[in-house]
Amino acid sequence: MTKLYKPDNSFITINLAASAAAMLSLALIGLIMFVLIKGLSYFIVYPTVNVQITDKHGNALEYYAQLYDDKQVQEEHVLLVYHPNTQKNQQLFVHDDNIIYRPIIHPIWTLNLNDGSQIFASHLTLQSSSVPNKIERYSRAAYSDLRDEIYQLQTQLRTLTTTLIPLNIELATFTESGSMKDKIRYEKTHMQIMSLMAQKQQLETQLNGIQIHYQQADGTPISIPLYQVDYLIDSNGLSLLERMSVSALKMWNFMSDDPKQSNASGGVFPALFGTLLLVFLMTILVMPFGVLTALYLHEFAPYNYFTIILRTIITNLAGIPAIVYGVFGLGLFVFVMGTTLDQWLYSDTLPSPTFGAPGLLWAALTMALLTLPVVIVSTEEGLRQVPEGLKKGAMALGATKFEMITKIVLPIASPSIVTGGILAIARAAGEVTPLLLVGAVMSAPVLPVDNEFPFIHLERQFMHLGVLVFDGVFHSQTTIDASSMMFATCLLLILIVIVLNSMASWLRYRLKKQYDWQ
Amino acid sequence: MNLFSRKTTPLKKLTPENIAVNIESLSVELNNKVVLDNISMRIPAYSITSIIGQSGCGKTTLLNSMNRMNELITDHKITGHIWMDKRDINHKRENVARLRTNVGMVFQQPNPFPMTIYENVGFGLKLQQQYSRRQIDDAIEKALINAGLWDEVKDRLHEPAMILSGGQQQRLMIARALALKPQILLLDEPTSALDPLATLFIEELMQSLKQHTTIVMVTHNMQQAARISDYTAFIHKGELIEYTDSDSLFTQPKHKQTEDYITGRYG
Repeated sequence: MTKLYKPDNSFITINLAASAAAMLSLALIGLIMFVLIKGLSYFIVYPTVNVQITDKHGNALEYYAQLYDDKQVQEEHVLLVYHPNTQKNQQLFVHDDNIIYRPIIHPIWTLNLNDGSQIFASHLTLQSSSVPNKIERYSRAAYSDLRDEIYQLQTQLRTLTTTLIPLNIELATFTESGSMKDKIRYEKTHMQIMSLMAQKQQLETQLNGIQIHYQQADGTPISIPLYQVDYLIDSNGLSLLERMSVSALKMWNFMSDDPKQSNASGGVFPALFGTLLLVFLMTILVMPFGVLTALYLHEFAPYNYFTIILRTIITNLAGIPAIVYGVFGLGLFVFVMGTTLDQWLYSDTLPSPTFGAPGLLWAALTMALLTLPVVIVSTEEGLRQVPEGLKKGAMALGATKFEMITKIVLPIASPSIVTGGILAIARAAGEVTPLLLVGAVMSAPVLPVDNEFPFIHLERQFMHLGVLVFDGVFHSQTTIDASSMMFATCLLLILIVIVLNSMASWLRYRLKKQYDWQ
Repeated sequence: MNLFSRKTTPLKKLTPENIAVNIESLSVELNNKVVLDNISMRIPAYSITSIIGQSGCGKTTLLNSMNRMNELITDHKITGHIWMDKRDINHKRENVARLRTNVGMVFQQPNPFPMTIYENVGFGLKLQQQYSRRQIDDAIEKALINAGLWDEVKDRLHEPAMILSGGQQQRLMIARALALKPQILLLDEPTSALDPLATLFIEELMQSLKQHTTIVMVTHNMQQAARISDYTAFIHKGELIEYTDSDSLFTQPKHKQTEDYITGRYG
């Protein structure tokens, strides 16, 4: 008996391919959901509890604490408490048997301090400095009155400080020249400064006088200056709407604040800014270089062994580990170019380096080098797609080669050039390893951009979201808050890459629609 | 069109004033291969001259020599002279970009740029940067009228050129070349990618264009060459075998190779 038809086995291939695709999408969704849930938990308002804990020595300790986990399910609980003597939050892992939950009679407030720590307290009272010994129970009206007072005092202090700076500079110039006429003016300025300083001191005392008193769980009364408190909430007594607005406030602070408690809480603004600035500078550096190189390789270079070898090298550059680029950047850019630049331009500040140390410029250059192959390869791909007939057509109409390239070739290749840009940006936004060597730091004192000439300080060190995540990994063992701040940073990083990618994809779509030759 | 009503002056009786292009012992080597070997021919002005021959015999190279498009191939070696308007265009100081505005070219495949119809026709004029917007508008309209396309596209000048049909695109290409008011128009198998009706359109168009332009055309279609061209050159393996007025070439070929080719014995 002969076989009439060949059995069709293609369903096996189809099923294999489909399950691979399904698993991949599940993994992707899982990753995004994981980061989303973990990251958003940084903005959740957790409940506060009144507990009595038995420590390993058998002592009973009373705490107001923030409870992180679901007490119904787990036996081990994570509690966040505040120690007034160290002025730090501490995280306690306590077994179920060692905890006694006490009834909450007085509302437990969470005071969020400027330095990023949280105080859990009851029996809030407020003290104003203008009326001595007037202590009243916490109320929203009294609180906002005092807030206004603090705001005014701080404004006055700020104006005082700004008037003091030029006077101090003036004083310094008088001290250097020693003539008689100057001596009188010196005395005068000195007096002025002294009186201003006295004023300032008075204001500071006034500011410190506005205080908030609270009680700890064991009843110890403690007071701190109110200006140290950022905002305070009654975590257990919030309605859903209030909860959401507190979460929104936390998100805003996360985006706009500096990191606090050595990157364990607070916001990520400097890192966000640093990341965007780095990506921007990198794009400016890499795009012209990449596009011009690809143009040369495709339009001008003769077809010989040298070109073939060059192209192979460029393609393979994309596979070099990022840390190698970091070492290369450190060696060439920082140590060679930076040091030489310092000797030429900043010889008066040596031996303290200006460009001879890791900084934004070198990081951007290293990242540009890292992403250069991607841009070249994808631009060349685009150039290859330009039909020969169009190039000949342009030449036949009297275009020079330059006009042909700018008017026909580059517009048609522009979607691919933008694709190269997208890939470069995505890679630069997420890459951490080389940055650790050439300029990114865990905490930078100043932003690389300010109102001082030349406004963008390319020699400064900067913060980067990826580096912040890297830092957060080491904190994650100690505080839950830190680990969720790390995840929140991850979430932000993913969001940035998605936003940048969709912007570039939209641009590519527009260009493709405009310069479609088929 | 009646083939026999045509009165073509025999090549030998042409005076120098009637010659648009005078090719003198032109040899072309591309990629170290001799493509054209010592070709001399005089192309009469305001007429249609066809170049026929087998694939790879050098027809297109000969056409490309007249606007120096062969130089786009990196490895090229060109000797000999091509005289146009008493100038040798093969001279190394010739302004090639200006030459190409004077010698228009239309390719086998319509190659509209990914732009609007208006921008396509105005491309060459814009490059010269010496015409006002109004002059360009007028030139575009005139070129489109001359190419017989104006009525079909006048309402959609600012739409992409890709929306036109193949025949319309080819006429757009002719309009694009005509916008620069060239003295010579080179057509490289302009109808081989078109259907019969579009071909007829283009052929009629060429008849009207030859009033003020010299047309040189490469074609594989011998009926077409016989139908519309005044003079025909037959090239075989880089050599000019026979060149005379079309009537003589297609009715009484002097060379055996020509006869073999036009009777289809070369396959």
